[in-house]
Amino acid sequence: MHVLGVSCYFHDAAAALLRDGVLVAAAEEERFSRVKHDFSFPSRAIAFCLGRAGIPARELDYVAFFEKPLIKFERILQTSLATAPRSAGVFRQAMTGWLLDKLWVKSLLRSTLGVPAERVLFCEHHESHAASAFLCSPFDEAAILTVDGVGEWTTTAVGTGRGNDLRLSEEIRFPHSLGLLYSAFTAFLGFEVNEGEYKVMGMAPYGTPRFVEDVRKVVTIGPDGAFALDLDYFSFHYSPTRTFTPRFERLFGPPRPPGLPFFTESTEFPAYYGDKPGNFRELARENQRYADIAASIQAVTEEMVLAMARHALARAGSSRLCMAGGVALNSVANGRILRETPVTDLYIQPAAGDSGAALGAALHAWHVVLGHPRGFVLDHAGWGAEPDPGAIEDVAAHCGLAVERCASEERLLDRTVDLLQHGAVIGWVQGRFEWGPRALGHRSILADPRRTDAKHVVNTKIKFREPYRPFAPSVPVEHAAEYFELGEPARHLPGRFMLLVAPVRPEARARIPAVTHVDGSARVQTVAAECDSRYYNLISRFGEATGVPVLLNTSFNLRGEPIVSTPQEAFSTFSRSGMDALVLDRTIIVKGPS
Amino acid sequence: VQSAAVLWVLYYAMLVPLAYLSRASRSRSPWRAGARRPAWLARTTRTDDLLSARRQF
Repeated sequence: MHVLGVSCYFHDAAAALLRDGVLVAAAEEERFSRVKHDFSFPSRAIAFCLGRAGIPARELDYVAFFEKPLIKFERILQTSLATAPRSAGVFRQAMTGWLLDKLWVKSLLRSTLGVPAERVLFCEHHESHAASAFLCSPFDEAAILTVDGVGEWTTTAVGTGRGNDLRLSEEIRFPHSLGLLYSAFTAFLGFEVNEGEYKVMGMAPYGTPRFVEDVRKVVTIGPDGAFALDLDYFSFHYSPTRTFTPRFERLFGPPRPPGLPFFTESTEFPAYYGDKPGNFRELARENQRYADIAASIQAVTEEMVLAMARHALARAGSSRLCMAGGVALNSVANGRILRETPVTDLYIQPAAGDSGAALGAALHAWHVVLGHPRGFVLDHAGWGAEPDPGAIEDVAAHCGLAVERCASEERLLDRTVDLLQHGAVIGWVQGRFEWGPRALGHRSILADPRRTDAKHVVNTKIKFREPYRPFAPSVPVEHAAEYFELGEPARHLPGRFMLLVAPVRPEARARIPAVTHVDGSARVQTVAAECDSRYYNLISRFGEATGVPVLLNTSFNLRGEPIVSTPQEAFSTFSRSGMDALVLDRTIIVKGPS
Repeated sequence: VQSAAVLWVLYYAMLVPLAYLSRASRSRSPWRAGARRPAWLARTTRTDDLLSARRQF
């Protein structure tokens, strides 16, 4: 039996396909359309999933949509009503989308896929999140916590999963939303909502949380993690363009203009920012205030997530926790949950945001609605498309650069390690691309983390991203505890998905400076031999050669673009950047003298 | 253009008067401004039966 899960029309559209309850394929639409955070109907992702399963759409047994559109529509109408006439802009914008597309999801799924109406199922947004968190976890029972911007009405939910059932018992409803609170600060700090939240998280360690008491004025937090926003400070519920009010600005000062380079006295001022301004010190002082605000909202967010996690555990009477929703991608908060709550085991699947709800909807249909027992654990992220060997050969034949086709695995690993040791920055394309927003060694850019200048080199030659954002380390799970304070690394699957930030051991910081953030932390990816054998062997081989089994791993894309999928896209990115070598399966392409 | 016009007529003919009429109940609404007491709300809906899962609402 085949169940297709679909999410779309908000951000990060995606599709996931189960065969008899086991995941066959899952992918976000942006990987195919090349539109970052593409929210349109995921026709390409669906076609990929069906192709991977080898079935036509008409053979689908069920199609599960990740939310209940009519309840969401009701929320938007009620919000417009309650905030009229200020909501005129939101109303006009929302109605266009809803009347043209979103209300007709069922018809669209039926007409596109040829599936009868009774086989199209709808799962509530946070139930989809909860299902994606628990039903593919390794736990028989666990507490569940889902936190995001907003679904239909729910913004936060707690519940319990047991066997093939899950129950969400409590919730917090719109407009009170931790995701929207964080997004309001993201916009205030000059970043794009649903895109710049990582930047706020990266900026936070450069600041001092001296505005925490001011943040507490805009959100009241209960001891059990329940919270309420003071809506005098927010306009996201009635304005299509602004998420905070003038009162918010009176509290925190003027917002940071979008698009301006961010730097402080303690960050770099990279060459791609242009010439250093004459009033550098004055601008750095002003930016320091923004870094302090970022540190403050991050600190309050962590406090709220920790309180909610404790509440979810207490309600469920469990020491295991499954999390999902966009806030579950806040890897700093996740690391603190492991260190500072009674949690013994934590599970978050790699696409914890809205794209992952496609998987959740399919799992919910299979297990909860249809009653099938569990048996599938999502323990790796490689559920996308593989590089086509013909496309690799085509790229190699026409690239005009030095090409080496490695006859053996040993040769591939030795040659790649040699390049890394000599300071090369390498594009690494292996196996099926990742499910979720993180590059985990399938579509990655790799470098030597021992080099103090590696972060600068990757930033200036390739990524052109803000200098305060850290790069992540990949480490074989057996070696993780030598470098990072992760407790029992093998026990925590979120570590495989780069969803935990942990302190770098003080004695290890000088050995891996390029992946140690300014506060001594790192967003670690642990690599297991049974899941990613080639990547695991590469890091291990690098460790044998250098004594440091760690690689710098960042996503294989240029700024503003989705992560690459195909060999052609990888070569295009390679050509337009300062990368030194490109490894496509067993083919190595090197710029300049090889 | 026609759709836009219909939307605006709908908006002003229906939503704005309703909004003002409902002002009295707004003090109890979730959009009320000012500090509020945070609380978890009991969740009542479930979609685990096939009939419910087939519905968009």
